[in-house]
Order: sequence, then structure tokens, then C-alpha cells
Amino acid sequence: MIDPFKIFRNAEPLRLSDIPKVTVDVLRARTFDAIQGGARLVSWFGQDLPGRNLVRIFAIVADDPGQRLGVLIAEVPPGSAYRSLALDVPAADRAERELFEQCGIRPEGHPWLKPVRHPVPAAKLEPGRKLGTVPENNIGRDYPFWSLAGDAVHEVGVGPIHAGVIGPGYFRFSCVGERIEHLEIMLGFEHRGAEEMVLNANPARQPVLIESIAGDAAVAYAIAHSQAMESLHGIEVSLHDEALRAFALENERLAYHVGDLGALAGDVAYWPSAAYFGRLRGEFLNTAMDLGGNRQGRYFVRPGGVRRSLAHATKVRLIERFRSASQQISDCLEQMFSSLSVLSRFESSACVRREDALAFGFVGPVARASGVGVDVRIDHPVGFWQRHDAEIALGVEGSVLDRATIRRREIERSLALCLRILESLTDERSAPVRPDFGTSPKRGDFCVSLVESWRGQVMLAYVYDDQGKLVRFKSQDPSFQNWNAMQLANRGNAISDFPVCNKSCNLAYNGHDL
Amino acid sequence: MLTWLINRAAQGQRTLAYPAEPANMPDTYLGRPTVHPTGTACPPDCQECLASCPTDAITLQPDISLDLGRCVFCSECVQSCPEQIFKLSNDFRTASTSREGLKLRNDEAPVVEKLQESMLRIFGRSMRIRHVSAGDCGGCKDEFNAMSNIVFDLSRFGIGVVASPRHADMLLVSGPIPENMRVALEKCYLALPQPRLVVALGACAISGGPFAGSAFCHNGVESILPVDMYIPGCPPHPLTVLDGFLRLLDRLPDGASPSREGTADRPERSTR
Repeated sequence: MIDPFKIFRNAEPLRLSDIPKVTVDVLRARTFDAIQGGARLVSWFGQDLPGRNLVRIFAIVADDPGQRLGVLIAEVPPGSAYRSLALDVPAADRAERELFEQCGIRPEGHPWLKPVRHPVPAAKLEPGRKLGTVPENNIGRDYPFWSLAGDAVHEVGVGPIHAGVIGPGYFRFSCVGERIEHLEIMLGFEHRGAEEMVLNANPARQPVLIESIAGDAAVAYAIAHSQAMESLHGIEVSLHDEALRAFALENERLAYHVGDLGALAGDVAYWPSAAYFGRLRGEFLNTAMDLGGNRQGRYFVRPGGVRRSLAHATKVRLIERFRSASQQISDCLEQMFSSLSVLSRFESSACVRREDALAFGFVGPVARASGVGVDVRIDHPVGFWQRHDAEIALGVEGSVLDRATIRRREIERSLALCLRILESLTDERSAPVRPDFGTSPKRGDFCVSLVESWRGQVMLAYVYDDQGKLVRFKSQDPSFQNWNAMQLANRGNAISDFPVCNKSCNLAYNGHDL
Repeated sequence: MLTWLINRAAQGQRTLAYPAEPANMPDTYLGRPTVHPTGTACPPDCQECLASCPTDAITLQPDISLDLGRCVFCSECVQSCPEQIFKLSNDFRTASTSREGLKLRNDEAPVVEKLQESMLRIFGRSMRIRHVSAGDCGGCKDEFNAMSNIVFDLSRFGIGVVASPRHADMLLVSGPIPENMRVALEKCYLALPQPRLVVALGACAISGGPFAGSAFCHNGVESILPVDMYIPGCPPHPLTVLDGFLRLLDRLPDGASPSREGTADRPERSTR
């Protein structure tokens, strides 16, 4: 199905010389064939090869049922063009715009070739200058918004600073009366140059930077980074540490899924659930603190294992906490999902159709709510997940209610899994992780690592040069694909339902903006 | 209706007794690191702490100091130092009204100077905050959001979050300030009525944190706006932020420590 792609598995080290190199037209055609044959587009990104005055384009596809990934490359001169893949494969939309922005390779005929992040280096600021002045090339000035004309049309612009405590982005709603005809989302306000910084970071800073790409999924990013480093350097991780990592990942999923249900309840003014879930979320943040010392789960997972073991007394306390939280959450879920005032706001609002979810390659709970069963834990298992099953929950109509229900099911399953891990965890001590694996990888110079974060598939890709120096680091947050879902879901929806649509997707600004 | 009542009873009263009673953090919490110079010079050529620190927070010359404004509280220096100069504490107090005061040379917490009397008359019992996420990874934003939940319950102190900067007394900024957010941040600041306060929340907003030196960022708020208070952390614990606010507003007795009995004259307790 994905011939002539080089077949590999999640986090398997590869040699670049083993990856077939084709012309860009063949790369486009074979990628299209693979997608037509049922594969999923994982990523399409470029790497500058300044020494050879070329740009290398990577196409990465997934055969999810076959638990296989495929990669194919093409090398083209800078400034060259090819026929846009997004014309046939909508999932390539943002990736091609990014390739154009990062490497200057033009996808001819791309229907929506707009900036992704407006990477503008920070100018040195003069002391005593006037605040609030707009510099040259300021973000948004050159952005061609889609617009709708007519007597009954009005536009609502929101951002980049939103009303709540939330990341920045600019949203423009084109409405007829209450109905949203289109929502266009312009991002890039949080662009920090994270990919470039990871390349140049010293070994101490690198994992911290990677955890900070989307700090609300710090555990998922740290696991993605660790499993890539471990496979490239041939480092074994103990079963004990793998189990603790899986526990940390599911705990992070719980914290955010529970928090999201509270936020959804708050947006429809159902205060009991907003208060209870807001409080219960803290149980999982505090669990992360009991594991590694930080409520966001930072600094716990590192290449080689985890940095701390779980003391026996802490383990006993956590089992108690999870049992009690399970009961309370179950009761609170029952209350929220039997409230007609909540259900009437969620049902059939902001639907993402299954065919759109497939075509645009949506991932995570957003895809699963629309009936697309993608989950890295099942499709591309590494470590713990090779020996344990994750159950998948699927929705039907892709509505806010479906996305809320997916969270409900995943909360129930993650709670049960966390308890099983705790109860079977031996009291063995993890050796303190002191990764000393030198600078150059031993077992390959290319690696793609996927992890199912609470938002969906996190992808990190690493490309090394002949000297073993990291020369391209690609980070792709689930939000990179899923922001298009937000734009689609709001079409035809009442503008008053935008907040629940937004919370039900809960996408990352920082993870997208890098 | 029955589920309603059962849940209400089961959930009970969850708001922290802090600050009327001390808040004790678990031993696992990565709180403020402390510096314990041995009095003698470090072993020659020992650079373990410098190499272990992800954000270059440690300087050895002229004396050993740890810059809390850069620190991400990862505890790598504690594990790396053969002389045990750096130790962990589970103290959540890290806020400071001076940037210099964040450079730790011993085990003392940084100092928060209360606002001057004229400012306290305006802000002391009612403070409205506009938060701006400027390249924030999500950590600071989420922890600040948690402060409005029923556990930390910021509103019991008369402190609240507002949407419009026109209604705000304090601009609370997190993130390393990407160039793409700079103009929006400046415009937001100018929209706050005077007098106004600017608080830098988290390592990124104070120094750039892990993103210090990025070509696309401004290494924190201070390069753009005058800063009145710094709240270190990665992200700061909600109690760290609360402690900073309460000391700034003179709502904690001088030198109140988490392990000491708080005073009982907390009017906000009676309003529950």
C-alpha cells in the first residue's frame, strides 16, 4: 500500500541513505497514491541543505491498521515549485504552507497559500521608543483574509489577546446574523523559534525546550523525545520506568480531559460541574507533583527512564487518591451528562464530519469524536503500549457532545489504567537517569517519534548530518492538523456556540506556533 | 436532583485555609532551591552545576549565586553538585519586587516590598488583573487559571481576572515575548488606566527562560515594559503567585512563612 516508501515503525532509527530519493513530482504522486490507498498523511516538511544548495522534502505517511510508517524524500533547488499536494490531499494544507514559509518551496496552485507563523526575528529595541508602534512586516499586515460581502454580512474580529486567560491568536468570524459562515484563524503570535533553538541547545537545555513547545503536554513531548533518543543511541528502559511513564502520560490526559469538561460546563453556565471538575483536575496535577515535583509533569521523563522512583508510601497514597477520585468523577460525570441544559447546548453543535476528519487528517479526540479511530497508543505502540491494550472510544456526528463524551470515556479508561499500573508497580528503585550518550547517534541519522498526547498525535522528527550533529528538528503538535477542524466546525454554527466549540477542541497556540 | 445533592455533599468545602493557616507542600515538590556555599573554593575545574543547568541560572564568580529569574526549578544542579552547595526546599515563596533580589546566595526567600500607601489605598482590597500570554508554553497560563478554582479561590481576596485592560489594575505577563506578540502587549499595557502594575509570571517572562537568546523573542517583559514584581517558577505554583500578590498588597504579616502560624485577622475568611 505504501510502496516505494521506506517502511519503518514508530521511533525506529533509520539511515537517511536507506530512504528512497525521488523527484518532487514522484514524491507528490506516490504520497497521493498512498493516501488514496488508505494511508494517513503524518507530515510533509522540508530541511535546508545549505552546503549542497538544496532543500530536502520529507513525506511521512502512516498505515495505521498495519502499525507501519513510511518515509520518502525528494531534494529540490531552493525556490523551486511543484504542483500542490493539498489540491488532492487537504491534509497537506498547512504543511505545504509551512514548507513554503520555512524553505521557500512553492506548492503551485495551493488554494490557501497564506502565512502560518510569520517568522519575524525580534529587532533590537531602542530605549525610549514609543510603545505600541507597528514595525515593518508586522504580523497580520500581509495576511489575505477570506471575506464575505453583502448587506446582511458582518465580521467579528477577536484577538490576538482574547477575553480569558488563554493563548493568543486572531479569529475573524464572517457572519450572517447569528450564523457563522466562516471562521478564519490566523496564528503565529507565539512563534519563539523553538525548532531552531532545539538544534543549538546544549544537552541540559534541549529536553526542557522540548517540554516547553506545548507545556500543557510536557509529559507527551518528553516521552516522544526520550523514545527517539533511546532508539537512536540504543538505550534500554526498564519495564518499571516504562510503566511510570505511561502512568504520567495517562495522568496528564486525565488532568486536561477533566479540566476541559469543567471548562465546557463553565461555558454553558453549569456551575456545579465547572467547580467540581476544576477542583478534581488538581488531583492529577498534584499527582504529577508527587511523581516528579512539578505540577505540569516537567523534568520527570528523560532519555533512559524517569528521574525519580515512586516511594512506597506515595504509591499507597496515590492508589487511595485514584480510587476516591474515580468515584467522585464518576458521580460528577453522571450529573453533567444527565443535565438537559448541558446536553441541549452540546448536542449537534459544531460538528466535524467524518469525511472532513479523514480528508484533513485530524487526530486525537477531535478525530475520534467524528468516528475516525486514530490513536498512536494502538496504531503505533512503543514500549509500554506494546504490552498493554488501550481501548478506543468513537463518536458519531463529531459534535461538541461527541467530543465531550470521548473525554468522558477516556477519563474512565485512563483512571482504570492508572490504578492498574499503580497496583502492579513494584517498589524497585529507578536508577537516577544520567543520560551520557555522547553527541552523535549510533544507530541511525533519522528518527520519527509519535506519542498520543491528550490532544492527539505529537510527532517529533530528528535529522542528523554526517558528523552526527542534529541539523533538522521537526515538531508537529496535534493542533497543527486540528486548527482546521475549528475552522470547519464553526461553519453554519451560531456564533454564541463558539466558546463550547473552542473548549471542546482545546487546541494549542504555542504547539502550533513553535 | 438527588445526584445533585449527593455530589454537593461529597465535594464539601475545598478552599484552602491558607493564608490563615500555613500551607505545607509535600516533600516531593520542587520548590525554591537554596544556596549553601561551603566557605572554601569549589574543586578546580568543577563545572558540574554550570553544565547541568538548562537556563544558565548559576554563576560562580565573584561568588556562587543562583538566579531564580532564570531557574526552571528542575533540581539538576542539586543532583550534580559534588559539594552539595545547592539544596532543594519545598518552600513555594519565590516572588520578588527587585530583579537583583532574585539572585540567591543563601537560603533566604526573596523579598517582596509592599506597595506604597497611596497605591495600597487603591489596590489593597480590590485588584483586577489582565493576563497576557506572550509565548507562554501553557504552563503559566494553566496554573494562573487554576488560581480561580475553588481551591485557591483568588476572588476571596478581592482579586479577580478581567477581559478588558481598561478595567485592569495589573498586567500579568507570561512567556518570553515573541516579536509577533510585542505590539499587542504594548497596546494592552497602554490601555490600562494609571496607576498600573506590571508583573512578570514565570521564568520566560522574567528572563526568556528556556527561550532566552531566541532570535524571535525579547527575553522577557523587562526589555519592553517596566516590571513591578517578578514571580519565578516554571510554572509558578498557584500558592507562589498568591503569596506574591498578598505580600505586594500587604495582606500577609511581615516575614510570614509557610511553616509559621498565620494570624487570624483575615476578613476574607468570614465572607465564605
